[in-house]
Amino acid sequence: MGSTINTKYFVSFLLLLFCFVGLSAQNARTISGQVLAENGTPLNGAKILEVGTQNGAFSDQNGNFTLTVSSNDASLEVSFIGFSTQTIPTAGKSSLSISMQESGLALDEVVVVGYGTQQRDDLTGSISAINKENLEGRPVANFQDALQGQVAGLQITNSTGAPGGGTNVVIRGIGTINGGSAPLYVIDGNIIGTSIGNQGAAFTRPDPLSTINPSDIESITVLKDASAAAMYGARAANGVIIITTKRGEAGAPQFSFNAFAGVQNATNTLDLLNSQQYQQVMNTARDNGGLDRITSLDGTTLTTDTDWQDEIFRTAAIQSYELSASGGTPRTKYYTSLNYTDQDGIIIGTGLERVSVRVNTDTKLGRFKVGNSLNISRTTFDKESIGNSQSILSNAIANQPNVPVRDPNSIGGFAGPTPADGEPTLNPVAAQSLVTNENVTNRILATVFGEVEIVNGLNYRLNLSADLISFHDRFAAPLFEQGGLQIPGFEDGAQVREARGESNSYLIENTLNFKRIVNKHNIDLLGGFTAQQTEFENLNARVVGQFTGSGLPIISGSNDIRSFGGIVRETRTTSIIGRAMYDYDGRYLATVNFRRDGSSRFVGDNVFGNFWSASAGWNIGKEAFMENSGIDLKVRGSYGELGNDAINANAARFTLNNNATYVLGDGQVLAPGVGPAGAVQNSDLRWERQKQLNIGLDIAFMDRALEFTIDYFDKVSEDLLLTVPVPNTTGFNSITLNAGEIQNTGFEFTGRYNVTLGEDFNLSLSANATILDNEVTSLFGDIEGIERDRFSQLGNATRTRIEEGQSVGAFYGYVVEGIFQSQEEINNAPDQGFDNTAPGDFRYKDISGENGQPDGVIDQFDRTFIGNPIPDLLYGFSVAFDYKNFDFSAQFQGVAGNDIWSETKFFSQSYARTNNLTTAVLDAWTPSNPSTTTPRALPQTVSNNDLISSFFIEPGDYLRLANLQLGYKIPVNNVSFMRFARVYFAAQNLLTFSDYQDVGYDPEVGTNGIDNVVYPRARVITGGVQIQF
Amino acid sequence: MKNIHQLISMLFLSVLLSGPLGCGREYLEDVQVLEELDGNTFYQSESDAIQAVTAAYTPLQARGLYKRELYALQYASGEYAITAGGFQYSAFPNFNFDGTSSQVITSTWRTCFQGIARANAVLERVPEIEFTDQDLQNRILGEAYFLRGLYYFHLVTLYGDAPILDRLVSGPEDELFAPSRNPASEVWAFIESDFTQARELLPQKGEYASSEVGRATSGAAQGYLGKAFLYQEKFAEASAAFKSIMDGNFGSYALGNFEDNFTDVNENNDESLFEVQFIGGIGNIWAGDDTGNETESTYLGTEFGPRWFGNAYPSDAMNAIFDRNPEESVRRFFTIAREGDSWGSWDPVAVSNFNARIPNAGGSTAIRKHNLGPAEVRLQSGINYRMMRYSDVLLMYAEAENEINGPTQAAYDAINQVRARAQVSDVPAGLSQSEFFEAIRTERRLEFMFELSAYFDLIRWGLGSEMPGFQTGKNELLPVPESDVIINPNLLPNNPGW
Repeated sequence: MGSTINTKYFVSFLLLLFCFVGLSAQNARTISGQVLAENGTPLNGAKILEVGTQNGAFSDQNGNFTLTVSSNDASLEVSFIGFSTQTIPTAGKSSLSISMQESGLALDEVVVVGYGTQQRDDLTGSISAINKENLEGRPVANFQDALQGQVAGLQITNSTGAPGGGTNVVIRGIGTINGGSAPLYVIDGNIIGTSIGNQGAAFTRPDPLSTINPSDIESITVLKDASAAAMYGARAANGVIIITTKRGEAGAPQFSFNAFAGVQNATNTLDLLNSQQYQQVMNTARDNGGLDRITSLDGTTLTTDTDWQDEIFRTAAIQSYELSASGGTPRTKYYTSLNYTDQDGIIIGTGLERVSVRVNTDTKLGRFKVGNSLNISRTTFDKESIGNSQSILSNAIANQPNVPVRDPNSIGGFAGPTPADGEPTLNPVAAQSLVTNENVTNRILATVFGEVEIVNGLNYRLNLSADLISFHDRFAAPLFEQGGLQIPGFEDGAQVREARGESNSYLIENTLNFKRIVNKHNIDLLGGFTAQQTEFENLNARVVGQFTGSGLPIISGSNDIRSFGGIVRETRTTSIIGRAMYDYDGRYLATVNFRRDGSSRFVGDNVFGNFWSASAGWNIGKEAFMENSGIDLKVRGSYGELGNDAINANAARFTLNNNATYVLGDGQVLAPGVGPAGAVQNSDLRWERQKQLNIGLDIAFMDRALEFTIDYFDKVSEDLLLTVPVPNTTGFNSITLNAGEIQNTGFEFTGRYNVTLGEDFNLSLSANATILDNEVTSLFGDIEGIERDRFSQLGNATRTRIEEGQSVGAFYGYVVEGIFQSQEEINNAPDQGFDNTAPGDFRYKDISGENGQPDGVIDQFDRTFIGNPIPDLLYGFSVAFDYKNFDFSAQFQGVAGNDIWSETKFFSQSYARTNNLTTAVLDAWTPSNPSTTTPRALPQTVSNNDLISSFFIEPGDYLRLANLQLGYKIPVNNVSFMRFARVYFAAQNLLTFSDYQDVGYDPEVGTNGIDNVVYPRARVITGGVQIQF
Repeated sequence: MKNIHQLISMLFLSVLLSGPLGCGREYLEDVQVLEELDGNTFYQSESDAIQAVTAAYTPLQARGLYKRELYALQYASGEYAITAGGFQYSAFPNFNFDGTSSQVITSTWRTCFQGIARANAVLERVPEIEFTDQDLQNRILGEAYFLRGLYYFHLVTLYGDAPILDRLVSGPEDELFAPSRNPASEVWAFIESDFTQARELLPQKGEYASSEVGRATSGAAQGYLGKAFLYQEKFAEASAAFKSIMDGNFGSYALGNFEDNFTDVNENNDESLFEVQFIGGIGNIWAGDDTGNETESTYLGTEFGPRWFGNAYPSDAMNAIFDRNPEESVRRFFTIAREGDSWGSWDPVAVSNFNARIPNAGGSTAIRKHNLGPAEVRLQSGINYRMMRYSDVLLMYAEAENEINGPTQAAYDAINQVRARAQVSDVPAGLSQSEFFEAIRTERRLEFMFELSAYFDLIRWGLGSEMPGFQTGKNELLPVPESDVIINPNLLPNNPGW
């Protein structure tokens, strides 16, 4: 039955397409031929043009072409990207064999785009491509780190510096909120999943992309505008990143061995108080607050002085080894690699270990072509062992310096604060040493494709992809104490928590592609149907006691089950895609895209959405009047719509909580209950739509030695999908709304200059910059603002507000306008809304009131926008040169104009609990030290200096030497078995210039600009070797 | 195998899609999301209705109410003295809290409305379900009316004016999505109506199967109806309502041992009109409410008692009340532990941990009520919280009676019944109306210390200023939480003084 329908399907399309085929049906003389590379590999898609006419053809899979020429002495111009163009006389010949010479230029002249490739000259959308040369030799475990700062418009921030930890990638500003702004990742045609476990706090979850071996990557293409990304319409609103892995080339087997090893360190540490300073500061604070002093801080000399940062940070090793082989016959080619990476974290007890295998093959047989990409990996993430939602680092800076690390008499061997020392705090060394918290992810990324050339120029392609992830999270804690006392977060003693699950995605794509040259009209049509299904299933349980701490740290180690659960969550999308590309003589370019998407996340009339885009370009440089100018110039523009369905699978529905258990009966048994909770129904929920205008200019001089690209973009996200808290009076918690509209506008600049200075000296300079303006332009209904990002340490107060005219995620709170210097000043100042305000406390600014005017009272109406997490400017620049056998490169990357909400500052300068503090508090206000910036010492619970205020906002600008490399190519002319050898020294994050490092660890804190004392990035210094034989 | 099957169906699907645009809807709608039940299709059977009404009870047992946070009011009322460990409650002594930073104020508000929505779900959907057992349907509706009335009773006494939601909110366009507040008088009328309907629909105490004990009874509805009258100073109606209970019209209620009201045995006994049900030893103490993993226990004993957290100890004023009433050997012993008391195997004062946790305890006393002492398991206390006891009915009756008719014999009998149980002498005869009121005040202190009574009593009597730090004209009501006002400005203006 399938084949019957298949036949119908082809027939209906063929009918449509035959009219194009038919255009070439009248003939005078037919020439056939084959286009081959020097090594005999057939070239697919070489362009054959009859000189002096606009009559041409493309070669097929086997390099074969036929062309009807108008005269007996016609010449053919044969061109192919990366090869020198040739002109071949045809007189007296009806069959040709054409061997093409590689031009050396131009591999990067071909760009992988959605469902195909394009010549860079023909691009009309905004697309940036990075090839392997820009990725290689960097001591990174995941490829995003290598991309950072290399692509205009791309903001990459590590939300944690833990090995394999999460990375945020944002293309052209945050245009959506719910879906986390992550772009769509497509690896060898496989739209991949992004969930590999769900246990623990968000900042400890591993990055699904860290299962990919960076050195398998041939190129990365970033599709930025509506035209470029439209082929992935449904989920392309955040942009698309297409990763193409290495494939084999025909010829003798080539082996390549790459290895690097090195050390990593923390880039920065805080200047925390020592025991004596801590004693003095805490006693002052408690005295000021009218509270009893901490018992153990009795003014005597303290004998213990623990440097908790020193205890948890370490110099950590990183090593990676890779062996690959590639080769093949003209018919079958292969690339295969084996990689092992082992990265210890700079915090004790953390790390990543990955083994991955890749096999990519391509086989041609007549009109048929089949191939596959297969990547199998196993990654073990050794995560930080937290007992609650706080990071291990925040526990390290919170611990009192007068508390020792170890106590041999305590179960587990660790000490901790006694009641006489103050608040119980987790000993981070104990947690990292005794507790296991790991994620093991096995992943198969597989794509199989088959292609058939139905008639010359018409190809059908079937692409089947699967992304099969199985994960296993395991948290195992033995019974341990701190100085004989129970530990916050570990009250249950020995316990095991495990979650196992699968996250699978299946993708099927049928596409039909038709290419034709008629005179100088180049036509490229694509149509197809795709369907994708994702499934997430998990099973989790937690048990305590019995043998979990002694001999059986697994689920079956105890039958005291404290929780268990599991879910099944499927989503499905279907799409119809269509694209028409046209150019005339490579000078006038146009593309139209259409896509109809259906998503299971929506209901009723909103299941389907239609998306389209159009773009046009003019290659002015190819006009006759520009000939011999040495200048290439292209202008291009695009406009279109993209969609986003990145919401919870049940977001539109009225769901019930079935865990509302109550206790009933004389026997006091659990009675099941089902009731409203969670989300309010919103069956009107629609696709988020993004409309983007892009205008670009590419200009190159001196035969492209000097190139510039400038793009202007205006990206409006409408019907923004956002889950917002609802009024509690509804009895529900949240609703997913089409909440409003966000606009991102900006400019992107890229410049590159390659020059040869003398025979042995090549210099390459490049720079890119993005200027970005992000603004919320409207909100749903009469919502004035949506407040989010609650801070659990301060009564769950919100820290950000989404409001018209502001950036998404802008920080919102009170403004500290100074420090009260006298009681008289307090008496004359606005009522601070706090009875115990005294000299040395913050003076908050009276901005407004219930009636919109300053009213002499500090209350919620006096909050305002106090910072913006989104940089105004992202930039990167690099310099590279090689001299004889030496090569050197340095790549810098930075941001400017953004702010950070510093939880590190809260933890270390707010006198919260009995936490340690940084030396900044030594400058606290006292009558004799009338500071205007540092408030008086006062415990946070009795202080009004802890409102969500501008005090916690710090500038986030930084400039970083992201990568530095120095290499030497060892001459191997005399070594018969070796083709290439290079040794290099490389450093990642060698230098960081930022004022923020006075307050926190690292200015790179994740897209939302909130520094929640996460795992800081490491400085990595390595040596490596690359050998080919 | 399943995956292969799916893959094949996807193959077919993608081919079938080649028909007219728009195909594939079935494929999309056939998706499995086995995570939460669908509210539009759930309410079908009798057992669905039972589960729906059971869910309306659980907010009582959530953190925002009787699991934990409501007890913070006893710092404000001056019953609890705070320890260093109770730092998260440090805004409550002396009424230092505001609408921004206090978890208690926000979560109690939220929890009450969650209960109201669940009761509304029952009242909206259950009448559409076909029942073979009509009594069961009535009972379920009666429970929902009772619970909705009970949540509104909490709201109106804590926050005053409150939006009345008599049905589920249907979506963002619903006028009840962001409502304004109804005046307290309307809320009281709504509460009276709910309790009256509940009383008519609910079975009496003793009529439930033993497996259903703990559900609301007509006696509970009547008791709370009387309490609603009393709080509105409708003394005649209140007196009549309580009298009807005392006359046995809602089953037989009686006073047992005083201490039986605060243990995990003798629960749902003859003294109890309504209890929040708890059980220890189950679930994760840190998991959120209604997550399926949470404990079904209360934090009351371990958080505010001497063992474990020790976040509170009896204030000097509370100790002084017993010092002034030396006769009170029973109620003192089971309310406040003092040096020399026996407490199972454990003398709390002799345990060094006790002193370490309560460094400022002064006289070394601890809260014994609701605490199992040496048997207390950390955050796993299964002691039911008795929300209304028969002794309360008697004392509320005496109070109402005294307000209408002065200290009649019936009023004397009621209060003396409570005192006799506590093994103390009768109230002196011949008191004036105001002296009798003073006797009731003292009696309520002695009987209901640490039972969330003083805060509400003092405020309704207009005697709030007896609580330390109380600002008259402001602290009669809590503020509507600022986080709610921000989301829904229709809730403004906030309460006086806030």
